[in-house]
Amino acid sequence: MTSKFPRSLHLSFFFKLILVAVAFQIGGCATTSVQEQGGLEAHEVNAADPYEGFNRTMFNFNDSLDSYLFEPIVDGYKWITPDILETGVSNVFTNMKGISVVINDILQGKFNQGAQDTGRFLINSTVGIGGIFDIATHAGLEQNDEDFAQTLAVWGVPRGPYLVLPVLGPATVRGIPGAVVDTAANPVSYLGWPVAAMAALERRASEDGSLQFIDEAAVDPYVFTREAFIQHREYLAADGKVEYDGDDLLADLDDPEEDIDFFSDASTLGTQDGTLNEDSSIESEASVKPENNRIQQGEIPNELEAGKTSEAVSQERQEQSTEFEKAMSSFKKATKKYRRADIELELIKKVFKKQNNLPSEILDQ
Amino acid sequence: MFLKYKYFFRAVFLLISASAVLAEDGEQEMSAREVVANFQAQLLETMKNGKTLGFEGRYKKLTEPVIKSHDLTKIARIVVGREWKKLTDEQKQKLVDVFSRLSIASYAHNFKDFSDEKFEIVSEEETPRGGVIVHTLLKIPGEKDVKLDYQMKKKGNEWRIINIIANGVSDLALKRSEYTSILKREGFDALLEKISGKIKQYSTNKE
Repeated sequence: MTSKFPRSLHLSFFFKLILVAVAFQIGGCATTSVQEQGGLEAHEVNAADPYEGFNRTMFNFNDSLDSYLFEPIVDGYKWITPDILETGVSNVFTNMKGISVVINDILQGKFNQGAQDTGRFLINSTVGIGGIFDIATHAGLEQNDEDFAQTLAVWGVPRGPYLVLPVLGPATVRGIPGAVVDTAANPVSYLGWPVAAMAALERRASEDGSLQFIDEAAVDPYVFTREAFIQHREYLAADGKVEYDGDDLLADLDDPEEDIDFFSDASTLGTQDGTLNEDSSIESEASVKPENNRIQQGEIPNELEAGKTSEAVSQERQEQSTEFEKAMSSFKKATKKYRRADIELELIKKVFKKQNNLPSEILDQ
Repeated sequence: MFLKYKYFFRAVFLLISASAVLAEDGEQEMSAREVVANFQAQLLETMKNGKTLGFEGRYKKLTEPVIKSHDLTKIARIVVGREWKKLTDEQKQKLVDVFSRLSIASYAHNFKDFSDEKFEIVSEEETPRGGVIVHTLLKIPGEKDVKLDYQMKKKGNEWRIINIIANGVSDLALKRSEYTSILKREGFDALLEKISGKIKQYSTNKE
């Protein structure tokens, strides 16, 4: 749950050079590996991502490039640069972007916001010494996030297909003219390649957290990045007033048959492996979870560690069962007045049985 | 000797927690806003003790709050989309189980410490299908506020979280795209394996 997701990177001459030099060499390898995984063509085409095959190739290529080239550079940069300097550098580039923010404010007809962002730019450029110090934010002039791709969206230009550009990363077709215009409106583009390279480095450094988050959270990093990128861009274009597609997601839930089929019958739940289920008895099951967890991860249960034979274990289990039955009967008495007592009981029994069965399953192997 | 009583104690513990749950039945139902506020308060509480608790401790502490405030079964069902109907009952249970553990683990991992963060509830909004969206802000000192919108749906009489939208990025939509993509490309077992891998990654990550 992070606030930032990678934005479309701006074209810079530095990147273009690398692009030409490296893209096609490594790109070839990546294509083969994706084809080996196989069968992309066989699946339905996502309307937002008709070029998924190409995009995945590029995604893998960018990912490798990042791991082997950009990430080490950024790590080095972060390591040698004191935090305060890093913030200063970041502020300077953010401030230069301020010009294009003002232009886009005006192009979108947001004149108040345009005046605010102009004030912000002037304050930070002067009192903030060329943008090193972000005085404006402290004065209550928060940075607005506007760019030409958003302006195009406001003008009604359709988003177009999702694209993963070599080196530059996630974009949509609408984002390409967007990036070109923003690059032209950014002073960084005219200050020579060392500045552009520094800007690119800073940008990558600022995305470090997001990339790390994707790495941790995503089961399919390609899809995760695509969805997060598209959603976040739409959110920015709409200035946070996004229509909830949640109802669309919930449409399937309106099928009452499905509800009855699986969940209304509490007695069928939790039979297989002490799974969590619909009922409030979830708590009781959850408390045994860490143990299940460990067993699933292949750790040896205590019984086996102690080097006991299966006979000893099963005898022990029998004793435990007797004790358990006693406990169960007293529980039954105590909870008679509750209407759900029986369901609870069933579930607990099942969980208990499962606990007992687990070691023998492992013994069988 | 100790082993002998291990299961007995565990059973007793289950009984106690189960009866605690039953006893709460009589309490008044919370509004959607209260459910969110309550959960956020428990999250903050865990974050404040996050460092001393460690991952395991946070996981344990958050298990009940997450399960009680989220409709994990419904979420698990939505994230696999139409594939849900193709799953066997056993697969459905496995999915709900592993997905629930993922949800708790990701909270335990992502909310590991406290640096004066605050949650603020801004407003509530009703949605056409009888749901509610609770708009909140996560205030992190020195950073832009994060807009967190909780999409709520009633489960029986209780309001439950079914989706969290962070700065316009819907967790549910994101997971649904990922999971359906994996289900189609690699199948159910691969999905479960990947989710389990994430849980393991969260639990073994150095703090």
